[in-house]
Amino acid sequence: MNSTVLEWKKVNFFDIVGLPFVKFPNIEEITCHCFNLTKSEAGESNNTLVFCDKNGQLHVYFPNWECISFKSQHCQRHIRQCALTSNNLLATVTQDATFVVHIDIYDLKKLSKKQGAPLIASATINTTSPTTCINAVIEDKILILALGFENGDILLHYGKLNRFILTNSRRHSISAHAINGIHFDIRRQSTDKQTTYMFVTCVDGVFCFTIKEKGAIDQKYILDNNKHAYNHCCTMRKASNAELDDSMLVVGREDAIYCYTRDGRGPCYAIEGEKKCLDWVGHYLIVVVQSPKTFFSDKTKVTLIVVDTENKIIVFSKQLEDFLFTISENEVCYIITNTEERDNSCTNIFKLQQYNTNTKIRLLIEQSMYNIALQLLSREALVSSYDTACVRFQYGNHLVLKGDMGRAVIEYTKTIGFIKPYDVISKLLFSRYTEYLKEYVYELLKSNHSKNKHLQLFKLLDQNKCKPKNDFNPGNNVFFNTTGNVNLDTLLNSANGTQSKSFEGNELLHLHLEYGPESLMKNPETYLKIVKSVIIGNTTKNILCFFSILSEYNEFCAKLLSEIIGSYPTCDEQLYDYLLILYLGLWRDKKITTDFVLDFLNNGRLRLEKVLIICRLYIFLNGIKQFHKNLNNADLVTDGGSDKCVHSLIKSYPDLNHVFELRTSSLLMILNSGFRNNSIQALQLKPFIRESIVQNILDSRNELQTIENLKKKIKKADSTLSLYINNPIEFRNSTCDICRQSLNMQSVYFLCQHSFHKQCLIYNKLRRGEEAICVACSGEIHYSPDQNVYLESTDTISVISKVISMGIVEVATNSEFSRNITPIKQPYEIKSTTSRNPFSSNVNISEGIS
Amino acid sequence: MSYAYLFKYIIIGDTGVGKSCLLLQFTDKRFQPVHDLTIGVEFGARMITIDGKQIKLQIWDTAGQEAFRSITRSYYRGAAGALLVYDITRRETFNHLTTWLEDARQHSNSNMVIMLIGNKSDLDSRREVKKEEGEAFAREHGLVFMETSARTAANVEEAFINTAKEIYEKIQEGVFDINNEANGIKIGQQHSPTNPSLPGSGGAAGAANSGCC
Repeated sequence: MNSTVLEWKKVNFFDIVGLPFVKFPNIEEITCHCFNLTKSEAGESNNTLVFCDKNGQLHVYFPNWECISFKSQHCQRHIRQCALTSNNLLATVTQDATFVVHIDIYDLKKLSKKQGAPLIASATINTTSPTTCINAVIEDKILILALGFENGDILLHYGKLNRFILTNSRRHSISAHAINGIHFDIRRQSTDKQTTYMFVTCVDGVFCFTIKEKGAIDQKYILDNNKHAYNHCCTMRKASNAELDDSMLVVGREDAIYCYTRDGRGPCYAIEGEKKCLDWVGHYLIVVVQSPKTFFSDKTKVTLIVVDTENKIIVFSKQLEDFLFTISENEVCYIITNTEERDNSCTNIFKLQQYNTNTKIRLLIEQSMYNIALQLLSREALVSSYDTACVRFQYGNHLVLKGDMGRAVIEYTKTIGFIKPYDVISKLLFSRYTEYLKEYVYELLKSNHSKNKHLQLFKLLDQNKCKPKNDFNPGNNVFFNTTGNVNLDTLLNSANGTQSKSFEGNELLHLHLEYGPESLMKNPETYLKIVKSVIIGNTTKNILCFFSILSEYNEFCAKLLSEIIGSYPTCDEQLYDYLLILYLGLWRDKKITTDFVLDFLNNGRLRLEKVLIICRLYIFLNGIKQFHKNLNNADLVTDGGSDKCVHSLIKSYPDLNHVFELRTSSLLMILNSGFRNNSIQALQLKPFIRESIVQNILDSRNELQTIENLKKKIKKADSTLSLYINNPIEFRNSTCDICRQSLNMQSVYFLCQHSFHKQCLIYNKLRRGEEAICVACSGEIHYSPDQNVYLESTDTISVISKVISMGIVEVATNSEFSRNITPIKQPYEIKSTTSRNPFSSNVNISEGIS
Repeated sequence: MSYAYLFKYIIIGDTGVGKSCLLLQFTDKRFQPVHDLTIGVEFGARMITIDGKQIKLQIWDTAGQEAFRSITRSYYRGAAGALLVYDITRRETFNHLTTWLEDARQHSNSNMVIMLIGNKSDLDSRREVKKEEGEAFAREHGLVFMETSARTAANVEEAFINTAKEIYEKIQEGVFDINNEANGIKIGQQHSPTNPSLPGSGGAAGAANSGCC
């Protein structure tokens, strides 16, 4: 891939889908193609596609891919160029060895299978150069047709179409080099006045003309005439809004793709490489760039790149082999290749298919391209929708992570009315974001989506002005004084097992966690005093969390904790455990004696297993010995994963077997402590953790494989389905499958090769839009003679005659018959075994799939 | 919409100085804090009024990266005005002005009006290039100077309009050959035929040779 393409942001919005059901002409023989977009009176878009081949045959494809082929007037010659107008006038150009050009215009509206399309105009012109390109448009019954030549001339027709094209045509010399693109831009200036501009590109120049009556041209603007940059190909980008935008000619060159308005150069998209073709499909520019041949492959490769020029992003990029050309029709782009092998799965025509909006948005969000996702939703007229609000909410979250709170709040406020306020508020519940939260709640209150609790929150936030925002100074005394005044005497409550509410949530703790270390470094004495005052007056819930800030001040912590425990002996047992850890740390540092620790161990509040773990981690063997006698009563570990872990540890530390024979719930504590302790290597715990991870990975792979298989099945089923839908079969039954009478009245034929009289089917009862289902295949019809016939009569001839008469008269006329009769005799079964349904083979395929 | 004149501008300068933001602020009156790198050349247009005449400004916003320099150079020739932009918070963008100016002078027509823009004036606390330095550079090289802020829109309109005024004055003085579109000026249909600076007929580079079939 060239270097300039690498500069672009990329995401994948498209997929290339084969169209195996399209019966395509021999690809080797196609000489030119053209297409158009027409709108029906109902406003539906219809496209017609024409391929011309070397034998002078014209293949016309309609939107349902039905094809009608007919011979051109000059069937002995190649059709060199063709063009199709919006009202289905087809212009073809043939040229003989002496450069005599024949232009024929066919009316495809009157195209029939038997007679082809009628020729409505033609012309023969003597020229001295081969033709290179053609374009034709029709506007208010005026046919504008231009034919480019290799010597730089163009032949221009402008006027109402009559049998002799040349009466409204003129030849112009544009350049000394071959013309390689002609496009028209019709600007309506008032209801009865319009100006037609013609853009012409030749190998080394881009020109714009104003077209006058009878093929005359008024002005020539040289938009570009760079002799050193060759124009490879061009396309026209129609203005999306004619009032505001100009149409633009888009020209592909080696270094980039350049756009031109009538006034001169426009934007430029830096994509390097030889451009094979350019197309404009909806909002997207499709560029096909020739890739250089590699040493390993003789096949010509091209890279198909789709650019969203509004959002400056490449939305598809794929290397293709055997590429021939693209056909774009308004919102659709087909890719034609000359792949040799042709079977059910292989085709020469592919469709560039866009993902749906949801998938596109998901892909953009995955790559943090929120702005483009919002742009896309706005393009889909979903500016004020839940989808947009979800994207904005995620964008807000992304901005919060990046620290851009100002913009995050702007995005959050735009979600009001769609996203629950709680979701946003929970993201901003952080002391530093108070002002932003206030801003959001203020906007929420202004809207009609606020509740009383939001008003209360706003009042609370408004009162809480002393809380620091971004410019918080950890050394600021105001902070210490403010936070130091907190007075909550709840240690007793926690001792009773009821966790009282910690003051103002976790805000104070967060402040300390964030700014504590810095404050401690700057002014340790003051900070320790403040922490002490906070802890003494605070709840027990946060005390241990505060100690994590003071990891370097074990003595202080131990003293403080013993003070708390001394004052409130019935406090949370976690405090006792932590104090033991602190004491053992100090014991290891030889700051306290073994006896001091053993005295503490005699405290009744300490739990046996925890003491053992803690003592083992600090290798305080005296403590373990003291409690050894109680170990026989401890529960054994039963969990499999924990077992392995514990057994392995036992292997490594045989002399400490008893320490590990603990309850399962202690495993996490062992692991937690194990990672912190030097004597147990983290590597020893790795295999147990890895085992479960590997299992998860294997499970995921299996699931991915299953998904892949299912996708393949779906693809195969889609292909089969498209075959059913797009390949009508021809058959002609002679009798109705219900009444068995000849089908000489109005009849209905089903693809399953059952056919019925319309009357028999009760067809007139089917409402429009309701699916017409074959009653034979659906099993609704049960054909049988009246059972009474058999019961009432013993005369064989009489029975037969009654059955026959009923078949002829009643079945054909009585619309209720099909409901009353029930199957009895094999010969009257509708599902005939004598005529083989050609779809039966397909049924097998679908069965295989299901 | 019809116009009396069409002026073509080019915005040049190092990558990240705020060229695209200036264009967005001028054409759409909005600021986009996060802007992707320009790849190639972007395009914008706006109508302004000078001396009672409607003037259409067509602006090419170029990529600042060295990789796209050859594309940028091909746009100089058709421009009547250039906005040479540097970032007042990044000294190196100011240091590269000489290179940009040389490039512009070499590839553009000699009458092109160049305005030196010191962008991001709202970030005064992070300023690395003094206003006086910008003024001195502009004086030395015969440029018009302005400090702008695409974020606050300060001086953005003025920068584009003052450049247009200078081009308009040059047209009135007959300095520009307005018949030559390569100078970046195009005469619109709205232009009064009594104006002495009106071209003879059409202002085209000559109609193509034509002949009836």
